[in-house]
Amino acid sequence: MDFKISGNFSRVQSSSLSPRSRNLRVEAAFLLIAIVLSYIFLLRPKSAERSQKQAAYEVAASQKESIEKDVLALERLGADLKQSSNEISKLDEGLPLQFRQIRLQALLERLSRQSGVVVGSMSIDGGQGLVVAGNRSLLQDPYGPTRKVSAINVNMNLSGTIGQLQNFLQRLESYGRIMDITSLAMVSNQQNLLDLNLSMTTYYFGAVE
Amino acid sequence: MAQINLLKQQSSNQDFGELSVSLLVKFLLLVLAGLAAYYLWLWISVARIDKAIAQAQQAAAQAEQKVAGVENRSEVYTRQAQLKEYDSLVQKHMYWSNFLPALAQVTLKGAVYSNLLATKEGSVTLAVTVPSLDSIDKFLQVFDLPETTKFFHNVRMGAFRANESEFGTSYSFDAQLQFDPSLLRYNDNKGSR
Repeated sequence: MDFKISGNFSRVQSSSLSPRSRNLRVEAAFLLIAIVLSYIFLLRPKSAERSQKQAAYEVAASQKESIEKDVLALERLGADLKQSSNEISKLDEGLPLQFRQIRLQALLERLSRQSGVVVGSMSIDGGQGLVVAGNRSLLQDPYGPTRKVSAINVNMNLSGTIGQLQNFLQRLESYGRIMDITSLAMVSNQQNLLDLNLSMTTYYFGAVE
Repeated sequence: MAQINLLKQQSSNQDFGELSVSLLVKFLLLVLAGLAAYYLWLWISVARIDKAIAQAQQAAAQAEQKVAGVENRSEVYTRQAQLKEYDSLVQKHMYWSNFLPALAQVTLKGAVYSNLLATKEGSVTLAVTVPSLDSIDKFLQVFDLPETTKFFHNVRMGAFRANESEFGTSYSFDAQLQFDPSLLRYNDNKGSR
């Protein structure tokens, strides 16, 4: 007996998946979802956390290195300071750590005497009200306080020959202490000498009170 | 009639499909295992970095304590600041001992200054006495020379007056001029400071 079978055999084939094949496809889908979710919610945040921690470590390591270098530099400077007493004396001469008017006056009179000029008058303006001796806190810790540069104005009247006055100016400049002349006035007097009026500013690096 | 084995065709197509999906599943399992291993590595790495950070911070704290323990630390800081301020003041310092010789060089012989006022901003006022009227002109001509105008310039003159004395007639006048403040800067040749 002949019979015809009509229809599309391929359609009949593909529509009927085996249970195993179906399971495999479900497994594949779940695995894919698991991979994507674990990447988004586990791996990426953890990787970001690692990068942040690495950056924080680099900062901490760099700070540690910097502090260790500073310690070495400070120890070296401390040792150099102990062996530089001459240089420290010169520095104190140039910019003293405290101001005593009597010392400045004595210095200017000594320079005048050495150059042969005669001091007519001297006025020193600045440093009024300062404690000039017996400051207990400063004596206990001379290098503790914050310091700043303060200016003292000096006005002098001198008389002498042009050579003596020139000599006085040169001694003033050669001496270690910084004294900035702000104005200079010279007048000839009746004894055929010159009267010199000097205005100058000197400085000290005193403790802020 | 030819016999067609439909079942055999169906199973070979199904085999290929299953094989592909099976391979895909195995591949995805491998990827998942790789991700798990990577996550484990990240976790261990983060723990190691945390430990390293703690060690670095501890070492930094110990170094800071060492700083506090340096014997003459305060003096070092004070002297550093003192030296810095001193350098700054020296840079701005003006050397007046340069000024008088430079002025003498541009002054006519025979001219006498009886009054001089100079300021660090660069102005000079002079009371000048010369022996003759021609000398006034010569005194001013000196300031037209290129080597003079290098440091002194813009001379202004007040009225002159004649002074009679037993030695003859002399002429006095006031002169105001400007000088270049760089004249008062440190001169290597003079060895100042």
